[in-house]
Amino acid sequence: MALIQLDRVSVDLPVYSANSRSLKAKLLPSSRLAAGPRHQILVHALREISCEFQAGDHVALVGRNGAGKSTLLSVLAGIYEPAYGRVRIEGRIAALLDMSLGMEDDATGHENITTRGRLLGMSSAEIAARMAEIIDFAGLGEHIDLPLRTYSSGMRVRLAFSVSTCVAPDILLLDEVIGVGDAEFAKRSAERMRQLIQRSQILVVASHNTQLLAELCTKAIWLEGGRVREIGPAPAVMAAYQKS
Amino acid sequence: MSDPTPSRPMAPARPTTGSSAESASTIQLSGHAHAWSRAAFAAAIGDLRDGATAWRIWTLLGWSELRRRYHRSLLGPFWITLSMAIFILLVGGVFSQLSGTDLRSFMPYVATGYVTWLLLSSFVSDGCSVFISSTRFLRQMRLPKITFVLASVWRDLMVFAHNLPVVLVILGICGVRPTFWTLMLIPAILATACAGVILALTLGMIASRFRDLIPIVTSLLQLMFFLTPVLYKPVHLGQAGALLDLNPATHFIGIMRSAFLGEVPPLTNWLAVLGMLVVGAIGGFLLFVRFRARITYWV
Repeated sequence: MALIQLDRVSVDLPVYSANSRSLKAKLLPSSRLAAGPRHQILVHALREISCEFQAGDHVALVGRNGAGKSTLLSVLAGIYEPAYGRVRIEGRIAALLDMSLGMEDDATGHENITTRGRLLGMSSAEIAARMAEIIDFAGLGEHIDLPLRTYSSGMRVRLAFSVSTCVAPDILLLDEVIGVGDAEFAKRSAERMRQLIQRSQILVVASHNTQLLAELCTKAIWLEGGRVREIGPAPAVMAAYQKS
Repeated sequence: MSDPTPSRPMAPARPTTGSSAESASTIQLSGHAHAWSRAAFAAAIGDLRDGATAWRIWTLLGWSELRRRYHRSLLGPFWITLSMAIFILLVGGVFSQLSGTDLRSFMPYVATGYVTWLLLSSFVSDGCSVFISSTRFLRQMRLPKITFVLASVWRDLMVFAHNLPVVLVILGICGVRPTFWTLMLIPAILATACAGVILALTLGMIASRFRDLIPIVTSLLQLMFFLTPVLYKPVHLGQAGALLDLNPATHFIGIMRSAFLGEVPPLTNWLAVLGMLVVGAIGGFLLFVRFRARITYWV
């Protein structure tokens, strides 16, 4: 069963000034450059986050810009290993944070589907089996054999979306990606996303679209300044967030 | 939609964020991974294991980078081959005159030395940027860190393979015939590849934290070329020739060159190479244990 446990997780993102990043500055502390104490600037991106989610939980992440929503999603995806606290995540994770990661301009649509599929953890056989469906869903027709460079930005998004959403994870992490493309594709993609959400056990989604979150989610975390301001059932937390 | 029962997880598409089933099904992270601890050792070993088994991903990443570099060029990666061939013929010819050596014996010496030097220097220069150039991947998905190192080493080995025909043609023209000892080429390439992994891992980590390592290394590499016996033989330097043994590249070129030429493996070179690999592997591993979790924060 899928499980997410965070125990007092803190993430500090260091900001390296040109000064502290230089080997020269470290080896030869000149009187002018090292006049002050050599302290790094740290951004406290997340502060003592504790939470626990089980199968069936659909979690909304709300908060203002810079509240730490994306960082928390990165931690849940296992990207940032927190320097303090403990994380335990059971289940296969699909983090649809950057759906076009690994896609290349010079490769054809076909090759990009293979690359993306591979990065999402599919085997050659699985990619081959789903190729037709992916191409069909993206609606690219014969463009699929042309390099990505020739695609419009809408076509790129459609291709990335089609590949990335054919996974079947236990835990699904989303960052503001619900419907994409033109009106027709947006409708189909929203439907596909709904099905993807249905077959995942845990969903964590960060969004500013409170109406959509209210429909999707059962629980919510309200982040403020990297801390949990409120956590609990979605309607209560969302109401409090919208009031503020 | 192809899936009629969307509420049931589809069997075929198994998304994994890591490579092995174990690392994908359970992720355990703790602050301990940021210091010397059992957790840090376990995480580093797990990273190496998962990365090595995910060969499909690093060969894919290596190839796609190679393709990006030479996209739409007529000769593709063979451009390096061509420029190497021209360099060997011209510079090799000039230096054989300078040193008063017979061209037929000097050409194979220069060709085998230069192709090995190109491999070594690509390991060093690509190794420095191995994590920096993978920033987008490091920030957006969970992959074993060693994946990027292996992709870089794989790519450099592919370039080396593109260069091989030139060397083989020169060897053939100059009448060098394979012997039993030519088989030593296999362990020699393996040892050099191991050095590439160690170099990329170590330099990659240091360079992602301290960005001025790259210009330092770039200028040092140019200097090192002249202190490496590629265009001359150590005897040409007289007494100072023995000092060349202090240059690590000398030993790698020694083992590769002797294998190419089918000569008896040079014991000193092999011992030096194996010694450096052991020390480098231990040092690189300890550095990886200590700083693996920080790489994502540095890039």
